[in-house]
Amino acid sequence: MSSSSTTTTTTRLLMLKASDGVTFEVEEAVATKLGAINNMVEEEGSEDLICLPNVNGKFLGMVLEWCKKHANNNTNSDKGNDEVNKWWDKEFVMDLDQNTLYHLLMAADYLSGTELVDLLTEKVASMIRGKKVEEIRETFKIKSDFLPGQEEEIRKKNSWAFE
Amino acid sequence: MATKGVKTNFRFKKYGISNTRGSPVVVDRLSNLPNPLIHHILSFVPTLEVVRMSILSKRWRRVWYSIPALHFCDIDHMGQFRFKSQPRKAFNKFVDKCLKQREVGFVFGFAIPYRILTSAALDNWLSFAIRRNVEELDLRAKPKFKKFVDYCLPETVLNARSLTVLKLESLTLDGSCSVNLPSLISLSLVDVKLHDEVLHNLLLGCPALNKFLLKKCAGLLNTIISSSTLKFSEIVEDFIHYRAIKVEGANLQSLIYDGFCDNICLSACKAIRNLSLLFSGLDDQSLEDLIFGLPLLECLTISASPYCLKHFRICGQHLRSIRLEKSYDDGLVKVTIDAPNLVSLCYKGDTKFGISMNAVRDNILSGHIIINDDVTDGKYDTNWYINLITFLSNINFSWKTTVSLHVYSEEALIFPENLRKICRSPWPNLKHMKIMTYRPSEKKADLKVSLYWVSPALETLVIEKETKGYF
Repeated sequence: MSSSSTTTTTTRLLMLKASDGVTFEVEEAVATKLGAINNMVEEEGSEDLICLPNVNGKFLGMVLEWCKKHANNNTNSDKGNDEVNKWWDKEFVMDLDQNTLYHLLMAADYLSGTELVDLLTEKVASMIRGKKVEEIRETFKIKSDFLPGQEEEIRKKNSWAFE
Repeated sequence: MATKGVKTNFRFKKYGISNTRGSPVVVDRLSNLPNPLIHHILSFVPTLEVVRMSILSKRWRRVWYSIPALHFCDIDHMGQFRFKSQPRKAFNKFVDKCLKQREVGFVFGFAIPYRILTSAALDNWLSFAIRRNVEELDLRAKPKFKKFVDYCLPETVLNARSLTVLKLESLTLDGSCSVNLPSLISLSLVDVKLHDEVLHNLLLGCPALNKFLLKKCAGLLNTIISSSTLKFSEIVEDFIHYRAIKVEGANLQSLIYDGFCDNICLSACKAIRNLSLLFSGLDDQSLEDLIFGLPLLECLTISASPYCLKHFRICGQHLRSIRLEKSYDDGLVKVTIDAPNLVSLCYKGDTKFGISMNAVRDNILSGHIIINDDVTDGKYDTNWYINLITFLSNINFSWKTTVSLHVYSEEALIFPENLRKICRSPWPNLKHMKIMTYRPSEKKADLKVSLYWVSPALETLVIEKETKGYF
């Protein structure tokens, strides 16, 4: 008894090479979830190796994992997939530390992964929303570089927002 | 050069990224993001909080002046007023100041969930946004005691040349003014009170409309959606009953209907490729006629209720995907499928559903079956197994089909030996099967024996534990 996957459709495979030389072999349908790759595939036609000098292998791997999940779930015409995708996305961003989040967001943006950018920016927004300024500073380690009195000045100028 | 295939289940840990939720952050990553990404992030943050962020550091001081999306809301996520003293006055002042002090004119979104507003102030803000060529407008009232607010949109909004997206919630549209929205692509009306003629005029004034959502809108009786540019539409009744629904859209590709209307006419929508009928009140004959009238139909979703449907037929030369759902309601529903080019069949519901397929070609079909079982304490009785065998036997899958079968517990698939002796194997030709359950069973060997009885010709069998979501 084998437990192998039974996917029978054959699709073109692309090689994506990250800045640190790590390469990933992915199905075209997965990689073209990324706008940038989609454009390159359309332009260059037969070129199967795509170099991505601005993305580290670690983060490219994560971006591709996301693409793969979404490409798979979309081909399956299950309406419940919306739910499943949401669950999966939630888990995907749940435990990301800020460093990873930053690099992942930059990578997704560079690769024009619109939906992934939406997911990650919303995640960052959720870390901002409902927090007081001091708490935001603390969360993101933002250092105030204002001169003494300057902050108070802005507060006064925009007093209508600080009442 | 290392080569890695991306496998379905690789976790981040492989890459040395651990769950560092509690670990200290040293570098200020947020401030280092480029402005377009910062704007994107802040488009999910209420504008008041964005303005307050101006005192974070020099980097943040002027950010709010150029954010493309504004969200104004007088209450926070806890339902408390954002301004503690004189909430109404302070909120009005805030919006006024905020709009006036912006450097750039591209107001993009404009969500105002308001509760205590004077309509004059809102009129002013909306007019201001329109003058600045607002492209997307999202206006949500949050009435405290009733469903709708009798706020009447100013004429300028319904004649805004720049608007591409308009979302209205909990408002009244009285139809007293003309409509001209030449750029509008997407229109969404939720909990909006309007009557038939107002809807008609509204759609007439949107010559570029592509997407239309009509949800929980009261006041309509004979709902007619007429638009030659419309491609996607969704109608959700949600306990508001429409007497009749007629959609006239020669270019409509996708329609979702969720409600109980028993008089739905789509005869002028020959281009529909995706149709979802969730709990329609149609009977067998009307449903068959409706589907028959859509020659290009590719994807069909039907939620079948035994109160309306008994035995219906789905025919379609182009049908590639069919999704069927059934509620717990007692009663048997039967469907005969006549779709020679079908590649995907999904069913979700109880076992009192008979699916039979005519003209089954040797297509590579994927079957996806989710059985909601109503067995409470995990004790599956003979009745359960007999019903399940009957259900499975009805579906005549060809040998090329890959079936994934979801049940709550593995126990539900361990057919008793005495039944296996007297019943025929439900799927004698099937070669590929995948089982997904939430509750694995101790009796793995029995499960396998049972599954090989279901499909003696099996070549691949995968048994997995469902990790996410509910049925």
